[in-house]
Amino acid sequence: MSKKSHMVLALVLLLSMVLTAGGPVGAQEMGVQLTAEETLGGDATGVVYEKKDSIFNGEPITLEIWDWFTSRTLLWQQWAPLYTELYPNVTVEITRIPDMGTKLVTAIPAGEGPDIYAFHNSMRSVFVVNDLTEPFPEDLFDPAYYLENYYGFQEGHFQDDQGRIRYLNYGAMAAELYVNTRMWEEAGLTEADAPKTWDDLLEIAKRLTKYDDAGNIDVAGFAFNGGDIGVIWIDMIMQLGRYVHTADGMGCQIDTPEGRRALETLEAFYDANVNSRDFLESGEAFQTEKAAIIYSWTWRSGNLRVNYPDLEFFTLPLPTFTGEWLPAYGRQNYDVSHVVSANKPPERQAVAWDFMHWIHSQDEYLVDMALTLNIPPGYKKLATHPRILADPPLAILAEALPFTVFPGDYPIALDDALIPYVQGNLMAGGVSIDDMLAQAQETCDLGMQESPYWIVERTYIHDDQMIPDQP
Amino acid sequence: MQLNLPFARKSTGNEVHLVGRRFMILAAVIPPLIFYAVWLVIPMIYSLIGSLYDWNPYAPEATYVGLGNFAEALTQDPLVGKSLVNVVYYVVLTLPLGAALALIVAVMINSLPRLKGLYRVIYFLPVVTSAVAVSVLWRWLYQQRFGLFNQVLNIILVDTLHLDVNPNVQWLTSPQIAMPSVAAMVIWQGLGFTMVLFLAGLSSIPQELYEAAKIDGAGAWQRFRGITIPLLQPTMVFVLVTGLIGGMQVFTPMYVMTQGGPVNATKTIVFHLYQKAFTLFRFGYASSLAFILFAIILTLTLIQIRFLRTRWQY
Repeated sequence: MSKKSHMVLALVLLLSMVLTAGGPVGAQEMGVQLTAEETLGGDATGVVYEKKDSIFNGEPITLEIWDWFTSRTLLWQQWAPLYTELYPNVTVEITRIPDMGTKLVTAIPAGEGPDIYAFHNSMRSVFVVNDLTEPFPEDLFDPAYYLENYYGFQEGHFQDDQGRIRYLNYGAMAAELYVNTRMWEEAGLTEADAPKTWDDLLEIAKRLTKYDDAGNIDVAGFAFNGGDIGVIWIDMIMQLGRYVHTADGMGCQIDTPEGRRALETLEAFYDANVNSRDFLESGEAFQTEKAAIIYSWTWRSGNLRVNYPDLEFFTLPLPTFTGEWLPAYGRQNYDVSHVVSANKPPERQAVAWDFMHWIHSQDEYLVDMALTLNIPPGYKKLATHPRILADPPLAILAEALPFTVFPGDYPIALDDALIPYVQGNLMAGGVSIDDMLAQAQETCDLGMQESPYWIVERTYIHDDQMIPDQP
Repeated sequence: MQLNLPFARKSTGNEVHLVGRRFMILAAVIPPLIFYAVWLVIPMIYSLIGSLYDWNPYAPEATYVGLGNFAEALTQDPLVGKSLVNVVYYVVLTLPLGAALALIVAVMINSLPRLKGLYRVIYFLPVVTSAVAVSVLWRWLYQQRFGLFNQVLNIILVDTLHLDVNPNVQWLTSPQIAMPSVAAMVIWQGLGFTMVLFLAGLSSIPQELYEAAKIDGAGAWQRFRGITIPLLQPTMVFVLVTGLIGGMQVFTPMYVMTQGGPVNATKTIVFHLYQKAFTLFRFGYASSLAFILFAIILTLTLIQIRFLRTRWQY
């Protein structure tokens, strides 16, 4: 091979290495560096973790763990070596599989796959119902302790029909307003100007919107185009006291007066020209400083800090129609723990459970995880943990969460209805609100009947404040 | 008694040779056969059987429903018809136009006295670029307010020609324009591949035919219509048949650029199938959709081959 070819190949190789190199995205580091011995004695599961004489009879074993989320994987990769220090015969191999759902669907029925895998509560209808995950053992995870000390257990959001714990609560996420600090200050706005109602937000947005010479929006005062539309709409109808689904979980409540008012409210932002249908999607707009305020769930905090470190922002609670958080602030969703696969031999499961017990007994791990996921912890006592209090978006969310509705599953039927017929039509324009709602209602009802969903909206603790006698 | 005939030794040698040849043939054929059996034939059979069941891979049992999934798809699911119409529209947009453009580019490159290789590479580059990356890039180009296309339209139509028009095209948010927008991106990306096929076809046409036609006084257009087009027919058939098969199964651009929207205007049958399989875990139903699509593609392909059969021989 000629010298030239060698040089070209070397250059290509070097370029490949440079292009594929890169730091972890959204990595959350362990907040407190503990030694392996310091991790013993944790009691966050209600059962103190004590070191065993040996695990798996001291024979070598590798626990395989799958997760789809980079930051969580990286966090586990920092914690797991401490367990291996305690039990050198146990290796914990954590793999990030972005498309984990499609891998599990073939691995699990074939008796393959990981010992432990990340879980999402939307997987409940399939995984728990078909016993693909093991119930959490009561001798390691005390149900009474969880009932008392963690959010959501009183309402049965983490237990199956027989009251067995099927996954744990890391915390819950909901929406806030993300505000560009520089633009807010340049507009002369202060803390006292924080919008309490959607009308307030509209007025604030007018002050923040900037236009180019042709009169087109250059910086949107409040941007919400894209996938946020359906999600805001759900929050809005809940704020008006309407649940999204019927009580039997077989239908939707989309074509309602509340649904109509929510859409009218969103359209008002277009009409006031503080956002336009042709504008950027909300996330893109905020990241590129083309939006002063956006609506977003709190995962965005981590995303912004890692990917846009120079962008200064703060968050505000969502506005409501009355300025109050009753009947509801909006929807929330839990981030839940990993689970142990049901298709592994009992001796492997025993190791998996010991690892799960060890890691979930650590307060610091639960704080790390909450910060990684950008959620207030599900463990009540950690709400006042200094590291949580130091994160303002989480502190705001912690206050709002008691006024949020956990719907259970987020059915694909809802996306199939809201994305095309509400988001799509609203952004395209030219379709009446009545038509949007009627199309979405019909599609959602059909979809809800296609597959069984786990709907628990009515377990909302302020259910008595919602519209009475809803179907 | 053992015969020791003169040809016996020779025969043994031939047999060894024959056995060796057979072994080589088998060694060459069996691995791909195994590959196809494991990754194609067995899954297809499994999927066909699965289409007769209410089959959720996570559920302990699958319930036999006969042709129930097919009946549901053809009579109850409103998005099956919609997504099939969408995909046919997509094929109609991309296939003839894509082939025609590729042919024009191929003829132009073929006529170049030099730098053919360079142009081939330039036009082929989008083919080797990730479809996902290309889709993301084009999504930005199509962005209505700040995207390049609308900016250019604005400069040309409003700033330069001073026309009283709104150059703000809803490329991906209008149900009427979204599919042509996606199709344009796909044509751009696939042009290089089809062009290379046509270039190969063009290079196999004997130059003497062109020279003879020239002597007979045929002009460029006559030579193109009378020689190039007929002799490219096998390539054309290949391009159109594979284009149809690939086009009917389109998924990635819609998944990345539009998620099937707006208002299901770009939802294709494979996208619909994917959602049924991997969000609802209705593998049986999704399998039935796959076989309905298979039947449609097979029928269209047979019709296509019948109508495009080569009629010229030189």
